[in-house]
This record gives sequence, C-alpha cells and structure tokens, in this order.
Amino acid sequence: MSKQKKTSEFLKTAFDSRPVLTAYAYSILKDWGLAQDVFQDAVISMNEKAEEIKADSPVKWLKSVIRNKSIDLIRKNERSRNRNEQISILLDQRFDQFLNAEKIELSKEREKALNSCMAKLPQESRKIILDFYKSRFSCDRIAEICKKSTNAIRLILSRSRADLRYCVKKQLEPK
Amino acid sequence: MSKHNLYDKFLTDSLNEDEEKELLAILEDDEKSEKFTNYIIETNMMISAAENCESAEIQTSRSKTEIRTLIMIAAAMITLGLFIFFKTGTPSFEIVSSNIEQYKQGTFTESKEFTIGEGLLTLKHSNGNIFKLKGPAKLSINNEKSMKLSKGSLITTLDPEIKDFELLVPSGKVKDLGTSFGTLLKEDKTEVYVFSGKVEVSSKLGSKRLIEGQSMAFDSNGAFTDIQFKEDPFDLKEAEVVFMGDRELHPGEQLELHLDSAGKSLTGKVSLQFEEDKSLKYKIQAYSKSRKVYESEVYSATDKYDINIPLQNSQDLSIEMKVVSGYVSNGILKVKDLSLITEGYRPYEGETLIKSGSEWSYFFKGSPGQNWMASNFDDSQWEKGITSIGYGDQDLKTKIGDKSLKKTVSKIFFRRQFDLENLELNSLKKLKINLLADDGALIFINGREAMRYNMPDGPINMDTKALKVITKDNGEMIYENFSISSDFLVSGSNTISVILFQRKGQSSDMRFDLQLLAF
Repeated sequence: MSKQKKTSEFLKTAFDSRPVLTAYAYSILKDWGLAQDVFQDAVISMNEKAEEIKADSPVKWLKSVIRNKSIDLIRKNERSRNRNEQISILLDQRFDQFLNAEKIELSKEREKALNSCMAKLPQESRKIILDFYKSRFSCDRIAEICKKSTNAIRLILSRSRADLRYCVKKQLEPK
Repeated sequence: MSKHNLYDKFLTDSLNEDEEKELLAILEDDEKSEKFTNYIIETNMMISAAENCESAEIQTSRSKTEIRTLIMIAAAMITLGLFIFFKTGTPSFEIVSSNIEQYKQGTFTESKEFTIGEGLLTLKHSNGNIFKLKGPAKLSINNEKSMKLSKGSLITTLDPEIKDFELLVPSGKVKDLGTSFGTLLKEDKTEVYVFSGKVEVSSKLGSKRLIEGQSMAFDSNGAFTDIQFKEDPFDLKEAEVVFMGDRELHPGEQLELHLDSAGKSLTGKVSLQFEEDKSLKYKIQAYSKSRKVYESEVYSATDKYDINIPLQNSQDLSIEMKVVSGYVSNGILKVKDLSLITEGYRPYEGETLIKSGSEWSYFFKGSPGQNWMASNFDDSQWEKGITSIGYGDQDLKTKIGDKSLKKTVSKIFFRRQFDLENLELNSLKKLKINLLADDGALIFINGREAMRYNMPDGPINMDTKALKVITKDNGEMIYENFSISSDFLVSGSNTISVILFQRKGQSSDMRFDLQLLAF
C-alpha cells in the first residue's frame, strides 16, 4: 500500500470513529471543547506518523494517543486532581467495545440522525444543553439566565434527551 | 439519585466518594456499563449537534443582521430627514401590551395623560423606560424624568443610564436611584415595592431609602409603616393556557375556544406552524362576539407565526383558517404547536411532561385485567400509537380497529410512562392536564385516581357510562383544562393510565389526547 493511500485510509477511519473517540476524550477530560482539540491533535499526529502505525490498528493507535494527550492536559491544567483510577481503567475497557467496525458504523448513523433531530428541538432547549454540558454551568445558574426554575431546567434537559432518543430511534427504524 | 444524575455528575466532574463507588459498581456490570458508556457517547453527540445547530443559526442571523443593518441605516436616515423637516413627530410611547380598548397593542402615542379603567397597559418610552399601569388608574407625564400617579398602580422599570427619575404621588414622591419598583395607591396609603436597585421614598415627614426586596407604605400624613414585600403586588393572575396542542383544521373549519376569565378583555396569542406545500397561502381569521377581530395572511412554512388577537371583552374566540391561493392537495391544513395563552398576566412557566402527539399503549378488546393502572403492570402486549387515538374521525393520528369496532367498543384503556429523573418534586406546585376526551375519562397517576372528566361520582365498573355525549358541537375538539396536585408524582419513572368511556354503547366515534404540564 502506498504511503499516500495508507494515510488517506487512516484518516477516513479516524473521522468515522470520531463520535466514539471524542466521547472517550470527553470521558477523561470532562471538557467537551478540550476533547475536540485532543482528537484533532491526535489526527494530526496520525497524519504525520502514518508510516509507523500498523495497518490493522489505526483506531487503537488513535485511542492511545488521545488517552496520553488527555492525561498530559489534565496534569498541565491540574484538572480532575481526584481522578479515580479504577473508574478510568474500567471505562477505558468499556470504550474498547465501542470501537469495532459495527459499532462505529452505528454511531455514525446515530450522529447523523441526532443532528437532524436536534434541529427540531426548540432553540432554548439547545442552548440549555450547551450551557449545561459544554459550558458546565450549574442548573441554578442556567435557571437564573433563562429566568426559569431550576426544576424547569432539569426537566428540559431530561425531556430533551428523551425526545432526541425517541426521534433518533424513529429515524433509525427500518422503513 | 437517578442514574442520569449520576452520569451527569461524572461528566461535570462533581462525584463524591459514595457516588464514585456507585459508578464503579455500574462499570463492573456489563449491561449497566454499556448503558453508561452509551450515555457519554450520546452526550458528546448531543453537544456536537447542538453546537452545529447554533453555528447554523448564527450564520443565518448574521446574513439577516447584515440586511437588517442596511434597512435600519436607511430607516434612520429617513427618520432623521422627517424629524428635521417637521421638528417633531417622534412618538413618545409604544403600547407594548394592552387589554384596554382605547390603546391598541403595537401602536405609538404621544399622549401626556393615561386614564384607564379596569385592565393592564404596558408602555415603553422611547428612552427605554417601561411602565406597567394597572387600572383603574391615572398617570400624567410631566417630562422624561417626571410623572405623576394620581390613581391606580404602576410598575416602573427604568433604563440604568437614566438617573433622577421621579414619580410623584398625592402625598409624596418616589425617586429612582437606578431601579425597578412598583407603586400602589390605596385609599389611605401609598405602597412602594423595590424589585431591583434602590429608590428614595419621600413623604411630608422625611425620606427613606429602600433597596431590592424591601417595601414600605406611607399615609397622607407622611407616616411610614413597614409592609410585607411582594414580588407581584399587582396580584396578577397566573397565565391560563387556554389551548395547547397539535390540530389538523380543514379549510373553513373553526377552532372554537371558551375562556375562563369572565367579562375581561384579554389578549390572546397564537403560534402556528405549518408543514404544508410551500405554494399555499393561508388567511387566519379570528372572531370574537361574531365580530372579526383579527385577520392575517400567512404562507406555509416551518416558521412560527405570532399573532395577537384582541378579545373585545368576550369569553369566546373562534379561529378559522382559509386557503386564499394555491392548491390544497389533501384538503387538510396541519397546524402544529398551536397554543393560546392569555397575556397581561404573569407568564406561564410550566413544563410539558407529556405533549400532544406522544406515544401511548392502548387496549380496547374487553377488560385488560386487574391492576392495569398500576405502575408495574406489564403492557408490552398492548398496541401502541400516537395521539390523538380513537376511531370514527378522519383526522385521528392513530385509528384503532376496523369499521365493526364502532358497534363493540365502549371503553379504551391507555397507559404511558414518563420520566421525572431530574425533577425536584418538593418544589413542584401543581400539575395541569389538558384533556381531549370523547366522551368521558378516568385518569390514574401511579395507580391512584387523579381525576374524572364527564363521569359520575362513586364506584366505576365496566358498565359505567360517561355522563353526556361529547360531539363536535359541544367540545369534541376542545382540550379541557384541569389542575391537580403534584403529590401524585414520584421521582423517577411515573405511569399515567386512562380509561376513555363512551356515553352510548354504539357511538360513531371516540377520541383521546392528553397533555400533562408541571408547574
């Protein structure tokens, strides 16, 4: 296989597995924005070092780079100082089960369906999702911003997820 | 703690020691850990998708903003030209909302005096100050920084840049020090409530400063007394959701609404969303007391349309859709998310636990067995469909059975579960049910009877019938509103179970839809 072809195939695999691998980085860093950065850095490294990577394990290679980069970041930023090692080890193993070809394909379809379903959610709900999960605001703070009760915010988060699940399920049902 | 809360705590890095142990136990279990990992992947995808939508929204609004900016520059130049030409003419107040007949919402006025009867009038000055006047009231405008309240109640919300505003009252004055405050004139005293910032209250006997959350009264002799602070000194009613849900209106068909507030002039608000052929153009007309009070042409699109309908002191409103151009392929206009909420009242802050068009399990072949309404009842063998569910009408979302059904079915059983994982039950005040039932219904929440509609008192059995026949003329298409206690709910999974009853054994139709709102 030519170097160019190998790199191109690796990059395709990397982007296909992005929904799971960014989630993996997110599970370590607990910061969605940083998780996206780490994934991008890992893909850049993959592009540079394609020749050194075994043809059958680009995803494993990426996962280990993401893990190392994430842990480096935690050390540098002194984030999550109370990181529970046992949880990290077990979660690391669980993510391996989501990195086979079948699960990666399914996650791509889910992501596509979720994008379309998210567009149907009210803009306020989308903003609350971003405030809570991306900006990591507390429900109390979001309630203050949105001039709603904390309960209402919790409910919107919970209902939005339920609505999205239902919508994704409907979209993925065989027609 | 619910699983979702635990997972969210993990993702926001806020687990305590016990919660870490709980999460470890989950990770050691194959099935549970798969759900947890899926939750992280799902959350990651949700953030990406929400981020994508927001970026698209910003792009659209940017191009809209550019066009809007050009229009605004042009408009500003024209306005400036007119101003220089006429030396006057800029309206002083915008009528932001009104249920007073002589002041029409959305118009401007240069009036220097507002004398109103019963009702609520919200004015916005061109300098940004907002005044909410509750009648009967009289408010005189001296100048931009001085007003006189001779009668009634006024809530003043001032632009922080504007200082030294004074509200004169018969026995003193309230001076703004950057704030929002309410002033109520009563027979023997003046009450002042400060919602934000601070004010200086002056009477014949001196001055007192009040800050946010404080209130005070002074009488005609100038004597101050403490009074209890109220966030809503106007004692406004809570907004009533008059109608909420999805409907399919045939062209010419009318949506009839009857409002609870007797003798009051209310302003209704209707949001409509069309998902029809883009070449169609519709006309929305609203009638109150048989008089046309609103007409607007709208094009089918996925956008929402906000229209305001004055109700002309009537409790009854009918909304009609007419096709004014284009070809109607199937003869039905789909109206989504139709809601009518009374305005001039405290905002509606409920959250929808079950919305119209939700999926329900249903059973209509005889008796479903004992304890069918219990939370742990297994309804996996029941059929499923989205509301409105029933038979005999073309516009039902789920039609059950075949034509022979009309002669055999007198009851339909419904069940649906809903999740309250993230809800703090203690702070919930009440639940509201919007019910569409033809003819009667008995509703259980978590196995306990919560309410009855059009059903007799006393024990109910398989032979019990609804009290009266519900037809298209007397409410078949209207959602009835009921308030019930939130005590029926539990944290986590909840079950709502409904029996729909017929009045007659062989009725031509049955229909059911339900929305559950939490306050």
